Amino acid sequence: MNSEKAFLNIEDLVVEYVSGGKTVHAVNGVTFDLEKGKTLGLVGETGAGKTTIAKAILRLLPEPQATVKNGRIMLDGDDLLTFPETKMRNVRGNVVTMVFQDPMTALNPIMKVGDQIAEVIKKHQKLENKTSRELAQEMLEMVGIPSARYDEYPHQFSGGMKQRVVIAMALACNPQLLLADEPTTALDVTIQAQVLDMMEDLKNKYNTAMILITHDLGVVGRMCDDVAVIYAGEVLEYGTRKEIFLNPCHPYTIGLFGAIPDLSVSTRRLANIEGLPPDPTNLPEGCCFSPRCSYATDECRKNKPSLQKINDDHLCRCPLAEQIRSGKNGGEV
Amino acid sequence: MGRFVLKRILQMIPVLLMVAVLIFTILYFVPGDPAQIMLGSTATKYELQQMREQLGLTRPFLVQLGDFLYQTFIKFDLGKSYLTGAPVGAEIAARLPRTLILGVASMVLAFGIGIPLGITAAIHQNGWGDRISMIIALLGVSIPTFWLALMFVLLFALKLRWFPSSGIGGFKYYVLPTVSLCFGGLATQARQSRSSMLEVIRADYVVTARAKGLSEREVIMRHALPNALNPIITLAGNNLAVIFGGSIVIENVFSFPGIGQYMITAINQRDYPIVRGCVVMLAIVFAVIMLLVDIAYAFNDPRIKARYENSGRKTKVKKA
Repeated sequence: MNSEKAFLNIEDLVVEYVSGGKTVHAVNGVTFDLEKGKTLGLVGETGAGKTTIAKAILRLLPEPQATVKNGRIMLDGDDLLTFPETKMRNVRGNVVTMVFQDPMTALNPIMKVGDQIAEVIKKHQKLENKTSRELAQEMLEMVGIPSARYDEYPHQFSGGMKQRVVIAMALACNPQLLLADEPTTALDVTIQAQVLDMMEDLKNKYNTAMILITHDLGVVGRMCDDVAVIYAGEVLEYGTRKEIFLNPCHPYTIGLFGAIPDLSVSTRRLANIEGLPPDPTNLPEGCCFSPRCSYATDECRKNKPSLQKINDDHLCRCPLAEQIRSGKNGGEV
Repeated sequence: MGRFVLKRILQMIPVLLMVAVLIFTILYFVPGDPAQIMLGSTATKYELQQMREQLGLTRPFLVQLGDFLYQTFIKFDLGKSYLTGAPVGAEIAARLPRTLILGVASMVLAFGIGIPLGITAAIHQNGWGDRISMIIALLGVSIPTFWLALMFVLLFALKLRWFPSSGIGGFKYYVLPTVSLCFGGLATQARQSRSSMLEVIRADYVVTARAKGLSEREVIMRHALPNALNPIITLAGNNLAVIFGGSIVIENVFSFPGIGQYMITAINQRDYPIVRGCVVMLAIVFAVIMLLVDIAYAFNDPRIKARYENSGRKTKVKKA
């Protein structure tokens, strides 16, 4: 963690949207990095800014509504934000690819699924139609779809198969960085496991770095090496999976874990975090979690806390982290 | 797919029959006496009666109707003009191509300009291109065709003398009618293209296409436009109907000897065989256009094609 020379290094990324004359502070100074072959999980509630981070990396934010106000996105030593559009096109679909949240709408409904995969291969590897078709068929087989179905259309596929096609498309050019935006949210549980296994296998095969966006802590526990907890466009807690899962320090993270049902104990009601995420057009002055935090002090509400080092593998944006952690073992949060 | 086309062609038959019955009935009850118009005000009662009998107008309604349907759909004979005695079929055959050229040329102009205009407007939504395109579109829908045609005649025919103001001949004679006829279609086509493009341009699969590293041009032409095309095709079918309807007005403004002018003259002269013949011919042209629109749908969208093919399969099951 925290190496400047990491494969992907995002520093102090700030993204704002303008909507109806108001400024939406979607991402507020996010910093993290990622090594090749590793997986980083971005965890957080809906609207926390996870997808915006991924789209900012690919520079796919809707223009002119969204602007990157600040930050660097260093990929292999180059800042993607300084790339001209033509150079960026060689990155998209080739070096950095994305798996979208909803497979039902992510595929072009009137284009053969095979052609949609072949298109990206042809674009980046400058191949003839025939060769790219063959490669696309191989990709289909690799994600477990018979290549004979190359000429079918998305409406002839089930949701899980569509997501496999989307994944095949994302992996077709052996990307170095895969952004998976809630790849399993739209799928039912049995298919989720299959798709996750497949992504894990393919990632290991090509030593791809992956950012996995999810709000499912189960998926994080299974797939990720590092975890960043995102809240209101900020990283609240960041560390290795082991640290975050076994030793959560931020009240928000602890709250998230509290919301997972424990099947070994009979529970009538799941614990929840009171309140709602803050309005991104009007963020609180101090800590963005303070309005919902039961530990919050006047100091928290006034000054924005900085990320503090818990240990080499663990950062937490809470001045009370140590206290909370020591008290946590004793009582309920 | 072949089954579907066959089914649609068979469905055209009752439609055409209905049109024929309707136009015959309407003309039967329209006031005005062909014999009177042919013989003029000096004709005696006896002469009029004789002429009516000669034209077969004294027979009962159902007999006349049956005879008309029999002649038209079994013997493919549209009859002869009351006034000139010229065979209607041959007259229509000479005029219909002119109207078709006029209609198709305006359609090509309307689509060729309207669709790109709408797409540009959608891509640069709220920009200058968008505003200018939409102003052109607004003018296009608001200006009546006949007025525009008259203005064109004043400017380009009488003042600048670039094009003839009326009649038929070579290419030059088609220019003014075509241009004045295309405006309404162009405008609606531009508006429809804009709104269906705006709908798909934010679709997830368009973002997917961008994420593949395609250029903006490839994204629009390969992913956005084909998906926006079906509403555009639907409107194109409607527009074609509007354009053919408009050609009746335009042909009269330019004294253009097409089927529209032929029909209007015949209506004024109560020359029923011509009116009926023209209406049946235009109905056939429309039916064919609508069939082409439906086929174009299926070719553009595999989901619709599948539906057509499935509906074919269902009838098979029922029969078995």
